[in-house]
Amino acid sequence: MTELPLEGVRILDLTGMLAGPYATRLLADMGAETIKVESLRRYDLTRGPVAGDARARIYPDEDPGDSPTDRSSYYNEMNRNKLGITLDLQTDRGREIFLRLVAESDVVIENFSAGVLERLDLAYETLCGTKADIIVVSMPAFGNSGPWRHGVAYGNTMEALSGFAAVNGYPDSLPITTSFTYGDPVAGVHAAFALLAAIEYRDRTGEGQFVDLSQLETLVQFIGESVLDYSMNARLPERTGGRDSSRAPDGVYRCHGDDNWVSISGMDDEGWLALSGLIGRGDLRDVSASERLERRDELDEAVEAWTSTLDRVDAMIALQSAGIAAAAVLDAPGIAADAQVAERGYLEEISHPQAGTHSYPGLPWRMSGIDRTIRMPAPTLGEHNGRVFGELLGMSEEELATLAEEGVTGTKP
Amino acid sequence: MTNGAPSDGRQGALARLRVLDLSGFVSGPYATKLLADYGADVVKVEPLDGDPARRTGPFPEDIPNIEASGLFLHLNTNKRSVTLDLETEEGRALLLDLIPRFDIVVENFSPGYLDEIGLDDATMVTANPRLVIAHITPFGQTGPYRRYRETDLTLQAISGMVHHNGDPDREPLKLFGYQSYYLGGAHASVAILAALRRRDATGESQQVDLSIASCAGNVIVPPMTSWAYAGIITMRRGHGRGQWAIYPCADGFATVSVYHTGREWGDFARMVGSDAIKDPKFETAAGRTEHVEELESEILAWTIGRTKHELQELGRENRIAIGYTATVQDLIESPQLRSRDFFTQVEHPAAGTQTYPGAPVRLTGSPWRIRRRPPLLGEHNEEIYVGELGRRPEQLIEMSSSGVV
Repeated sequence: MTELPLEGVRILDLTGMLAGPYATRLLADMGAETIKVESLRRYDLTRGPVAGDARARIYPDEDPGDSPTDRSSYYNEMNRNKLGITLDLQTDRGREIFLRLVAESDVVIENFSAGVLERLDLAYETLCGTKADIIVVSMPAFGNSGPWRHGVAYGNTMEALSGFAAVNGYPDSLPITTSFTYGDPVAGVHAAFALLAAIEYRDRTGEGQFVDLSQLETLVQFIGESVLDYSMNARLPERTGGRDSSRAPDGVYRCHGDDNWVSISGMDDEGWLALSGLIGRGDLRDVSASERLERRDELDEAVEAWTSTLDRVDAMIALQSAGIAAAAVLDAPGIAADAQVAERGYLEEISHPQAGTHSYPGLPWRMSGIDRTIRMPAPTLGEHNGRVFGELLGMSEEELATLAEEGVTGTKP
Repeated sequence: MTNGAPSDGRQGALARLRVLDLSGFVSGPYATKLLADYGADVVKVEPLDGDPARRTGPFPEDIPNIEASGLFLHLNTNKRSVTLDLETEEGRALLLDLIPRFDIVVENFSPGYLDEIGLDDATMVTANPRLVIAHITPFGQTGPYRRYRETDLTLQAISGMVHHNGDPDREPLKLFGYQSYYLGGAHASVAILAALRRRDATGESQQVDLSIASCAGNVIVPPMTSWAYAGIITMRRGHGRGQWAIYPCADGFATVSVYHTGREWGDFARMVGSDAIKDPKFETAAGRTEHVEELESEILAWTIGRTKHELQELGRENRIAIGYTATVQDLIESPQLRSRDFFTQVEHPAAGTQTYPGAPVRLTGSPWRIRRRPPLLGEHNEEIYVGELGRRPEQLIEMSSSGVV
């Protein structure tokens, strides 16, 4: 039995950037037929500008090439395993064809700001007129109601508004945001969950539904214990530099070389006995847990005197061999070279017609029915127009040619 | 206790599902919280001294109490709790009696532990050939690190989260709280529902082997592909630079984010309004990079005289992404979250009435709902062991005195 877990689920994907595409990436990776709908005028911005932008640092060897919008690392990572079509929803013809696709689909997912589908006359109620049990997942930044519903936000905006940035940073400095727009994938993974839950409900009851996701409300889940702490004790957490205030030593320690670090954590008396020995400071072995907190800076120096002679991975292996919770602080090349990542087969290579052969992160779990995650590279713009409009909707080549002439669809931005 | 949804008696989306939850602390419990809050019947099997989250704060008035941990309460809404010592012969037998009645087993023990105590996958599948088993572990069931000791810090480190968070000139930083565990749990909920669909299609048992470290790494887009495409090492960005950064304002801090293509720069420059910001040298991404320090002082001059709410409002009116750095108090007072009735109050005999996060997603046809407050330790032993499994009340007393439950 090789059937993929989500075989038979068809998703019309109107999302762009990261939050929505992250949701559909997980689902496409598990076999959902995901049709990404872009248009020649409004394609996913992560494809980059039509003319290319060599400074954007998104192209293979930083070369935009002849077809820049098909060569973006960002787009190609997020949209593998998806079919790509172009359709201008602002034209009557485009809208009509979209409704024919809705009739053949299980789910429509979008991350426009609230109200955009209404303006296109493609509101949930309208889609229900075409397919009674359609599921619509709508994921604007702030949800479909409330005074901020039309607001624009990126991942770092959400990190700020959700409470993450206020507690992220060094004790002596401003709040900071991550360099990976954390809010987006957190919203995306919840959208993927909600979409599958809605399918489960439809399969049981025959009813579709409208799913309203506020990216802000998903992020607050991940600091839920702080909400309870505020409710119980009116306490607000502070920026601690990411260190455990109840144990020492704890934190990241400099290793040998440029920007090379190892994290050490979970320290108890047994761990300290091992660590003090490992770093050649048996004289400190009897320092108690409470004293270790008081003498934190001094002990950090002692630990760093040892770590700074080692590479991060060698330090991790030595610490783990001594029974201490530790891990190298890995950057992208570190992850690409990591022994565990290799054994798990997490990075998979695939060839893309415009971008060449590269490795990409796969699915972060293994499951029955999936041997290899990445079955198909990300689509070039409009790559699957023929397959979707032709095979799925039964349109003739002449019809497609006319649509392309009218600019309703096509492959050149 | 509904949340943005009518209390019309409709069932949650997942009301068909029964989940036997052997997991503890944060990762597994967050996955099963999502399942439970959307209607699944989740029975939490705790060791006799309880889920470790019960011993982790925050506690009301900072007084430790295994029935009142804020972390536990947040993660265990809508679940029932039984206690069971899986290492006893009787405990194992009880578990194997329960398994045929459930669709899904979720566990986050160290790899190999369940095998050692005779509860390997094959044994559970023999008890229930249609069982979905989700293993949620730091590194997965295989590989050289599978038995490594870990904390949220070390998992955030090995996954790349730490490298990409912090000031480029200083040490990298862990994100707040338990982010790798939450990420593992949220991803597990997706994997579980997909596995269930395949179970229904094939009639066969399904296994999920999830790596928390890989889930944490998966959210870091696009540094892995930037490296693969062009050998670029993405660096942490601290407060950001130029038109994508955090700025101090009159009463706090706010992010300003202007995407490098499209309409946004023009709208932003018009909103800020000064002649200096409208200078053509800032109109291209290249120009903004070249003159970044001038640009930053122009933006700062605009933010510093305005309050966080004024900036937020200007961003909203002009369709520019601006976000103040909210505290939890700001969240609770947020006009947006209030308007959506996001937070919810839950009464609990040990913790009192407290404010909890509401629904992460609104399934308007099959609502999120708090049907049950978080359980006391072993609160449902009688309901499950006597009521459902048909053990006699005397047997329960006996098992209790012999330390099985």
